[in-house]
Amino acid sequence: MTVAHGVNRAPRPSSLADVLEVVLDKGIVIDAYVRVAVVGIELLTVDARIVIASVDTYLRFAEAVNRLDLQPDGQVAGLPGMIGEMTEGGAKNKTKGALSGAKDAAKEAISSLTGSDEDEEEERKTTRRSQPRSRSTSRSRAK
Amino acid sequence: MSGLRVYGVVRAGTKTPPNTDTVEYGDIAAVVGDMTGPELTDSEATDHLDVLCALVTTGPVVPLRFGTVAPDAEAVCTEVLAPAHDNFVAMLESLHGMVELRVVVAFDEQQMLRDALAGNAELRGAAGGRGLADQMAIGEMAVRELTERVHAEGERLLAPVCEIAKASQRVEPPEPATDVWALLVAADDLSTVDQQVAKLAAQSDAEINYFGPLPALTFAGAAAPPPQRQGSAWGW
Repeated sequence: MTVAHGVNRAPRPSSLADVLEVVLDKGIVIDAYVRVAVVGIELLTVDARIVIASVDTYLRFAEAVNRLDLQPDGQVAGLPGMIGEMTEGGAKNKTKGALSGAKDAAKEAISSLTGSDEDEEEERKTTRRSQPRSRSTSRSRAK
Repeated sequence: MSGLRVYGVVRAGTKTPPNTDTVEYGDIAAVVGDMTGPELTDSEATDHLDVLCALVTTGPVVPLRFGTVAPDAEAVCTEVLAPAHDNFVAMLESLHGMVELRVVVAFDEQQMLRDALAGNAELRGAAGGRGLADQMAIGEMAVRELTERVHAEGERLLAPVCEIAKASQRVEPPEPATDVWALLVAADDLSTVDQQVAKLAAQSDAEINYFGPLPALTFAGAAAPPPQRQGSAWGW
């Protein structure tokens, strides 16, 4: 549906990162599943990625602040990483680290892994969590 | 490897998309699909959203968590539909005629950061610190300041749209200079909301992305009445 000023309402996001942002860790789970299960991302991976994502975001902004501080207003140049990412626009830029929660903890989707190329952005780790009868496994699937 | 992926719960008799089936329990039904392998990958996640989006155009749907899998239809009945039947009926009723929309407002990160620096003397004073601890502190401060500005501006822009919505909620953004909102609106109000979004896009340099109708992934839980039985039946 097209509206004035070119803001189209798309039926759903098209980028994988945005789709995962919409769908992961949302929707109803009923407590006390026995034979039903909720498959998610392995916890260890989740924890490590949370820490890395936060550090990267802060360091990236620290660098940006330092560069802005050195340049007079309106003459910001030489921020190649940020500018390259920004021209891709909004939610489509940068690698997203969207994380799904464990059954027993409400982990939030955290974003912003930085500086990765398109291949890494498309690669997702979705694994079977530890189940009572099977070992947990970790696999990557490249798109 | 057999087994069922469970997408969501609809009213019994609802037509469902290709490659899905239903497991009925009285007046409600779970929408299910065959597991295609032992793993759930990106394409299953996309498929989960696609099925829910198709369902929401035909009637109310209560989305289940992506990754919900069951060995057979009987497990779906006894563990999903039966324990929470009344809650599902109530949620379907409250979601009837409602859709979720998503508005993504991406501000110019450099400009926002420039404004943040200009408006925060402490941040200006700390800028230039070189050690890792200093860098982390600067970065954290910058993100916090930026986020405050983004939130304030996002709320201002979205206010007229939130007025029309039955419910609105800020959701986690992909990065600090972006504000993302989920809205629960009546399907009848869609064109009004479209117009308001167009207006807000005209008022701002931010890049606006706008999606829907989506299933009520953000609001499904909020639509549920508190469980009647002892102990909570819900978790999310």
